[in-house]
Amino acid sequence: MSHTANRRWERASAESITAFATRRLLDTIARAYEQVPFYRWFYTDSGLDPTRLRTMSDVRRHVPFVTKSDLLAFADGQELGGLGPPGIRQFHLTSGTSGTGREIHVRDLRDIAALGTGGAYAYLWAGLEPGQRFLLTIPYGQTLAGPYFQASCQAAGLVPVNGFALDSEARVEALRTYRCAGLSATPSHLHRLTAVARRRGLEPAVDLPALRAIILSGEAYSLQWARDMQEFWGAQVHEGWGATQTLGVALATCPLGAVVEREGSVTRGILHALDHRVVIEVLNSQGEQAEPGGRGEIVVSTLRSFGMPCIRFRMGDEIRRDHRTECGCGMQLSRYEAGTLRRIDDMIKIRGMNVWPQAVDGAVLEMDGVTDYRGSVYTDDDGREQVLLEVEATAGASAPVLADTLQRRVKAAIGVTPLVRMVSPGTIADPAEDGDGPFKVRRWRVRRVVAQERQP
Amino acid sequence: MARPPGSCPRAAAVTASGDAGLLPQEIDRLSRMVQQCRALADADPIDAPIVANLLAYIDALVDELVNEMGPPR
Repeated sequence: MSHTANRRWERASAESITAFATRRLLDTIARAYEQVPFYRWFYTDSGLDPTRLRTMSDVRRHVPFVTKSDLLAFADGQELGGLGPPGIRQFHLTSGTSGTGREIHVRDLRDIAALGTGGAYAYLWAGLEPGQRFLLTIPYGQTLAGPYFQASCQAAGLVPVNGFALDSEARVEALRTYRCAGLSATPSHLHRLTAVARRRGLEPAVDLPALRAIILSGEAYSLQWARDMQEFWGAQVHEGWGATQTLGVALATCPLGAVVEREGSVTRGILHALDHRVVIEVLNSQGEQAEPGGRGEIVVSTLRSFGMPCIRFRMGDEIRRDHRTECGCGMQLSRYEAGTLRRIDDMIKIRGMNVWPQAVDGAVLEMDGVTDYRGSVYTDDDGREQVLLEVEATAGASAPVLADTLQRRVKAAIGVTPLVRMVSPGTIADPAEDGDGPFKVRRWRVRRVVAQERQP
Repeated sequence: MARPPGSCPRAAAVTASGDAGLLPQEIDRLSRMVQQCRALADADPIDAPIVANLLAYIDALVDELVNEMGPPR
């Protein structure tokens, strides 16, 4: 097992990576201004002259950020990109997670050729090898996900096992039947598969001897939960992050994985950016570049997208830059903490406090027997703000004991005691089995009286 | 068959600029194969969009390949 994807970039110095990315970014900006109507309009409107840009500092000083609203306002329901029909080979909708509208990104042949390369880094760094089988669970629809996963398997030499249309039971069975070495899933779906596997009495060490890597994407997860998953499945947990706007994976955990245990300490692993393919910036709450260890919004500039490049695009996802001075793997590609990625618009105000649903995820989903949950914030008859958790657990779990424990754990995690209602298995639908919907879980609803529209 | 506009710019550029020595033999070999295929297609101008599409896709793959090869060492 080599864990190597491309020594050229794995051994490149930070200086050569930055110099290469800078050249490519300047080329991308100039080309976008010439060829992509959105950028022609956007840069003209902002007074930017791309020919005057020389350095990465110039880019950060002068090139305006692009938001989803900018793209949607310009496109007005039409496709984004400067390609005429003869040049278009695919188009991909964004997943709709934000709830504000779906962008339509067109792709040309160069995009198709580049589609799987980023994902191949994630798989090969995870120790997967050509010819091994890899279970795919994220739905294949008109989003990037389906074509991307096929292409990334091809780029890594893996054999895809297409579990898109299978339910959770059948996916667990497919792992065994096809002797899969790897599995790709959202953390929520992996949690559900784990519950299914446990209920069936599956012993991965015996029943799934080929399984060696699980690649997570799409959601945050706690360190303890990731350790539990590694222990149960007997496979190293990894993570990849990408989006429609980045044309596939832009960040991937290195061979050390998402959980690093060394000399008695356990820490989150490191996501490395594929800096020669995508320039990543992290903007803190003051709008400045975050320092190492600081959190902020991810801003991406693609270097390998041609149909519709995204340049200084604000993703609406937040991540923490890694605080360490180097990674144990030795690579100089830029570093971010695994498991810390979350949607900025996920934050909820509860009784005046900022609450991130991921904190509740950790408290609830780390409990044995819990399959999934849904949370809501509402105003009760006495005008008090309440938090209700509807929790699904496997048959056999003691509902009163579980509810009591969950109340205490959530109180400790977010400072608010929720009401807990246990629901029977199968009540909460699994988004990973819905081919048309966004596969990333939106667990929370806010139904405060003050947030509701008044009727005339 | 008409040559698709802009086809195989990367392979041609790699060879023409003399950078080929910096790249592995496989890329050089691939570039020459693409050029041979194109020459055959040009010499026998039948209506073969599948050939044009495949050549264009190979061009795109070569471009991706060269990007992954990174800066010259």
